[in-house]
Amino acid sequence: MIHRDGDWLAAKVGDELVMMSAAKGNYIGLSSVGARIWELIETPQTVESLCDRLVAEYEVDPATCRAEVDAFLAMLGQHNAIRIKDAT
Amino acid sequence: MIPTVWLASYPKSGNTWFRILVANLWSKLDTPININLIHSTDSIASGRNQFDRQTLIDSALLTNDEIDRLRPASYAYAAAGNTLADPDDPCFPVRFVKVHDAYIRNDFGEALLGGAAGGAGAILFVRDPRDVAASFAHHMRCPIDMAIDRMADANFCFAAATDRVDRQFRQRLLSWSGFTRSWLDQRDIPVHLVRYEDLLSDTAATARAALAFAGIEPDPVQLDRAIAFASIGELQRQEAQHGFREAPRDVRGFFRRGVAGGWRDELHPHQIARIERDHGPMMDRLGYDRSTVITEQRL
Amino acid sequence: MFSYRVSGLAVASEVDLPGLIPGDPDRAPEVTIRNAPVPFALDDPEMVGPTWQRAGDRFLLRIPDIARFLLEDGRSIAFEAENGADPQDVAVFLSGSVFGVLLHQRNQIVLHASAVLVGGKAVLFCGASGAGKSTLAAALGKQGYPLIADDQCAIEIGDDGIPMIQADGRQLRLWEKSISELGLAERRGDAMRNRLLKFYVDPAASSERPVPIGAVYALTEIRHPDEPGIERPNIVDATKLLTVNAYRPMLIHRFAQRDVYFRGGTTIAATSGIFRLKRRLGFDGLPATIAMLRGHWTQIGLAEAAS
Repeated sequence: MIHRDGDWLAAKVGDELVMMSAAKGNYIGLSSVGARIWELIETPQTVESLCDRLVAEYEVDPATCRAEVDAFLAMLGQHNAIRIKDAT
Repeated sequence: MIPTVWLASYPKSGNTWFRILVANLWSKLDTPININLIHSTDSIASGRNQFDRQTLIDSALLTNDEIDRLRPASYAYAAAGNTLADPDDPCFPVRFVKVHDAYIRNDFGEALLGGAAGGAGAILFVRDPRDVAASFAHHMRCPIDMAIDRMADANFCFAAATDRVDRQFRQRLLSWSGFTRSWLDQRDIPVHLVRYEDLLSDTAATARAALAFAGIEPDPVQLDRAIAFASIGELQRQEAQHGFREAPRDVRGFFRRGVAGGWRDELHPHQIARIERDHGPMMDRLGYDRSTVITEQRL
Repeated sequence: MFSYRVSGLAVASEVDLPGLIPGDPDRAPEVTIRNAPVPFALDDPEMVGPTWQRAGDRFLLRIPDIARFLLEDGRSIAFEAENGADPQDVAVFLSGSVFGVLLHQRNQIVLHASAVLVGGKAVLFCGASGAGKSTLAAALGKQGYPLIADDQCAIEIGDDGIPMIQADGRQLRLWEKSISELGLAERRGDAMRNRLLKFYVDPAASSERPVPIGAVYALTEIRHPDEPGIERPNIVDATKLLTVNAYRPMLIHRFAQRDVYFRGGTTIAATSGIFRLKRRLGFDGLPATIAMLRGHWTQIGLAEAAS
């Protein structure tokens, strides 16, 4: 399960999203798709359910979607913006 | 807390070259770092902006002497780690800070750079004053004779104009000899001497010794890579493409020749004689052979 | 008592503060300035800087041989001159550096910037001392753009989400070199300090009302052979630019203002635009910079295209 992590402030600029960690002052910028993913994982969910949702919303094939989502989640993980817990 | 080490030099003596070398050593990129984005060393000690940020005072409204009274406290504050974005994660093992001020005292009698509280030590870069003269003239866009005048002038300062605001504070350089003596003879902090000529002829060994003084033991492969990334050819290439922010305005070619002994074809005999007369004792002390002393004695 | 309006705040002061706009003496002051004993140190400070200390809502700033200033809760400033300092010298720091700290203490967004009025909106130029803010504002003033603020710009995000700048039609503060290069000798007023070649200069026109922000430019110096230009940085860099150009960036962290500047930066980036103005420093380039700005104002809808 993907959970949001840390104390991030987020604000929309156009269809992009800027995020800042209140404690450290680090920034992340997200494209419109990234912003949508951030919105979706407000509800903790699995990578699979997230990808199903994105394939339905965007014109993307499942394999490409999965690869890009994995890379995106890895980036958020490096910034300690999410944590991944095994589903129980 | 990471130590602060001054990189002190009269201008045109290899200070910036060393800083770029260090920045490449600490870079994680596999290409040379951008010379206009050196984040790994602080900007020059005489920078106005960082002083205003730390003291919360608009230094443009202070006189030069008033500023000099506050400079020691601001250096001590920075050396204590207060200006790092994250003191728990300083990113680099040493805080190197370039400085062109001579090691002098303000009118309160305090060491301008804050003594032992402002820095743990200094690496002093020196270069044959005959080579400095030609390079300094190019740097200031003035005739070589004027550069030689300034190198002999005990009152010479950078950024001393009072009808405008400069992004740097007034810096008293003293004469070339006076500058070097002020750093070598002060007893507040340890000094490691680096001759530009040695840095040129055996970059790896000379840089390694300087870094060891600062408590750094670089990986040999990474050091070789950093030396290659800071080659004069690379620095000139980047400067030709985007300019160099630390160069004086309107000076093209901050990274000029990067050679030792160029004075033999750049200076007139009378200019060589003058420099050797002005700075003979300090040249002797640093091991720079004089060429005219015999002739003068015969005269 | 003297009454002033500084960055939109009603100020009552025991001392004359040259260069500020007079305020309404009947309005209840939001900030009072008084001459009173000020200690050299605070009890139990939680932060100590080279010239300052903070203990809760008390903030002490000392400028040796000029004065000590005690700022309390963003509402009052007490000052005590040192060694018989000239009152004019004390006043110049009160209305500048000290008031800037007070605005941070009040949790306001305050930028190190000068601003002029273009098409009914404020155009801000941010940069450190020596970056050319006041000179550019003065040069634009000569072209008919009224001054809104010089050196400090206090910003508020209205309830409707529109970022506004408080008019602070204080005088321009220019160095002798700029005054002579810009041909403003006849507008030159008093020296800011008697030993300093920096002068108050009367702006030809100034704005007195709060104005919505049209654009924010961070002044960036380039060197040969880089070409001048105006860039829109990505949203992360734009948001950071606002923080970097705070009047005293260090205080953002010290006064726990990161969220305020983050909200301000993203709001301005979304509504008005934050740009980098890349140009060579120097008086020769001013006409070209102004021409470039005018072109940009047409492009972003602040001004109509020249016919």
